[in-house]
Amino acid sequence: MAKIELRNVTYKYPYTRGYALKDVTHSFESGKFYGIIGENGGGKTTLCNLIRGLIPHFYKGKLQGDVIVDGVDIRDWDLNELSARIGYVFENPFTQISGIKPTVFEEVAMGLENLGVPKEDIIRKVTEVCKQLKIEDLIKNNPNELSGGQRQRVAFASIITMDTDMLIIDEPTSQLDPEGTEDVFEIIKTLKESNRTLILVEHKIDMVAEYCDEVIVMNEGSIVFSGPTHEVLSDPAIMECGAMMSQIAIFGHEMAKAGKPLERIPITLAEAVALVKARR
Amino acid sequence: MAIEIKNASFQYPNGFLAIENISLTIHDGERVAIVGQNGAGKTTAVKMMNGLNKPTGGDVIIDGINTKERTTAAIARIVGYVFQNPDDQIFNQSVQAEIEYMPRYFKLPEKEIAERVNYAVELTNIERYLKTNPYDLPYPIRKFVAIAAVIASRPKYMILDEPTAGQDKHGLEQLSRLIDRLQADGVTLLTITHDMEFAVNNFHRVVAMAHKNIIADGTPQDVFWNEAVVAEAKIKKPLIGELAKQLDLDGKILFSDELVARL
Amino acid sequence: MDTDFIDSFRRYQKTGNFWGDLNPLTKLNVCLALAFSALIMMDYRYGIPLCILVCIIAALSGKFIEFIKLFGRLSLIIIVFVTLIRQIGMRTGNVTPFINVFGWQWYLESFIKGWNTITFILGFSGSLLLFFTTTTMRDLMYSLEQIGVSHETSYIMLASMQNIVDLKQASVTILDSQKSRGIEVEGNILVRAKAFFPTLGPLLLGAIASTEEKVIAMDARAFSVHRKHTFLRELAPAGTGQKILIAAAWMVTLATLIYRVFLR
Repeated sequence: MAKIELRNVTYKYPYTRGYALKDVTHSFESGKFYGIIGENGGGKTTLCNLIRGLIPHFYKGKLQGDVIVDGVDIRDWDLNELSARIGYVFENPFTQISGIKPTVFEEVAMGLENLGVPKEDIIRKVTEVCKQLKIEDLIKNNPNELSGGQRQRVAFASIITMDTDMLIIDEPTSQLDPEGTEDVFEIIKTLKESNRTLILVEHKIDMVAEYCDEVIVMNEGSIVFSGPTHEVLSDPAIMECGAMMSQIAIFGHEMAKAGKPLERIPITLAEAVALVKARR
Repeated sequence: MAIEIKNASFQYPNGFLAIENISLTIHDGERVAIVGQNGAGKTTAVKMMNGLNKPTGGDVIIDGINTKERTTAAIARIVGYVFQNPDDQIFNQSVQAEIEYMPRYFKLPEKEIAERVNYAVELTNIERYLKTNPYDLPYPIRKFVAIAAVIASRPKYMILDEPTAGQDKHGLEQLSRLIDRLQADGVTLLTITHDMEFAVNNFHRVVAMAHKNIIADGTPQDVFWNEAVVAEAKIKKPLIGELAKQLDLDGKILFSDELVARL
Repeated sequence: MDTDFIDSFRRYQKTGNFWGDLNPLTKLNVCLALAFSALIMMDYRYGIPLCILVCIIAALSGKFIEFIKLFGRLSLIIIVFVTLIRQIGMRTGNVTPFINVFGWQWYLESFIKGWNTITFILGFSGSLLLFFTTTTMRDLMYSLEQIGVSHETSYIMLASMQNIVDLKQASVTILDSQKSRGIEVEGNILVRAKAFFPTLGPLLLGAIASTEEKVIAMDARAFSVHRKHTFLRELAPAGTGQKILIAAAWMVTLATLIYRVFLR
């Protein structure tokens, strides 16, 4: 069964003129990893807000069409119950820290405390996630004094402990340095192995190429491309819709133009290495 | 005329030593990208250049003026610095008022104010937002508003701190055009960036920092093909460079056309 | 991984210090009772020993430095202020000239008669100060949540404390960014005032903008789910001993009241 089903969804934020989403139809299958790319203002974050239930429960505005999450219309979901099912990590590492917990361990545990999970289970789960995300050394630190990259890892840990079967990740690395970015993608790699449904909004196209099963390109509120990652990211037409193309794919096209075509257009580094070696 | 950092150190009042004895000269007309891990001292170093941080050891000389002898504001008029977060800077009710603020502060004639505003919005491509309240604009556009406001002060040197953060393809292209245009108009440009593609595509000189020090300074090729530097500064080689390396190609390749020509 | 630290959540949080480990509400009761007794007595013979007592408790709880920093400063201000007021009000009547400062005559009585007021204010505020320096906001809110204060109220109180710290940091950054644009902030008061204004906008707007994100982020952590919460970090509930202590403290207050009303 589709985890999330969007049918002819059109949405306008309150007090704005233009539509943020225009006639969007798409279905997200359980256990798959989706990447959403495209230019700013194209509707990527709005789509996340919708799936997460923030639209229409938090942001009012005008919503048409159907959004079905786990078989239930989004309008009938209680936003609070939905938060226990769909995890959400976003861009700003600073606003995601609660600001009320004195240690990272307690910060990570907060979601489970709110859900009323028995204490022993909380301790076990938090310990496990902190290990998994390699923040064991930070558990006694004050989360308000961490660097951006460390905070983002804590934000991930805080959501992952809640064990939601779906996770929306909206530009998690745009404010991080290369090392922090690496760490976050390390986490995303672990998540991919955990069989969750994942939706990642990201400008770093190489990361999308590396990890996602399917890619959606958004432009001016509509889905303009969608399909298997390789198919979408090797198509130069996505650039006309404001989406970035990987340096690797551009190289592939340039090779073809120079009369030295590779067997297919590569989208990841490893693929390019293999294709070039095969050609030699 | 140049920015000269001479054996400068910087220690914060709380005792934390952020920069330990660095020397660096930025000549007029250069484009310099400063790269390195968070905490390596990049921001502290550029804040020394615009007078926000007065060196606690050594000197920083801007066009012959020692920064210790002037107020930050006086130095900052020569060396403009666009902060990473536009929200720390923007405070006016409209984009136009924001851009006009410094020209008005300097009490320039109306004609010149209008000229500067036009120039700044043209470079940043935000003309259609002039009447809008900056807080109603998306984050990447606000970044351009912040840049435009600094451009309107017409500093001779300009420092952009993480300008690519959150920018999409259009934003990145706009940034490249802006940098070309500013350089053509005589502005010396510096950037702090985590975006290595942006650094190699737009800057001729790369300064790598690690552990409160400068560990490399040279062309993008020299810096990104120095494996020891790449490892120590924890930077990433641009993808095409990495591809060339994994294919065992020499010649310090960083760009796609070079690589295509070699295969 | 620090297993001792993780294990600490399996027990009640304890520091091993008698006063420090009292339930926050016990401390609050004792401190309030002492504060009221100072108010009732209005006498330096009660006020001075009380001030000494709160200093001793602060010292025993290991928070003497924090306490005395505030209390010392407060004492100085109160003593000077009350003496000055007394001096101004002491122009007539049976007074003894003390010293003459550039033609301003000071009377001995202004130094002596103020002590009842001074020690009452210091005894009262010292008791409250003792409570706040030896109790973290987090512990207080925990205890209040236990007796029915809402999760939301508790969050707002605690987050505000952090907000003050964050705002302080943000204001430094904003001022720096204004300097970087060439706005003069160093110099006379007029220059500073002119520079101060532009910093307020970004500070407030930044705070408002981040609030919306914070709401969304906390919501993602099931903040508003209506279920009974678990408390990872627990404090020992007040036992019989502590209840006796509370009763004793209020008995003292009652005793001072009886003394004031019937015996003096």
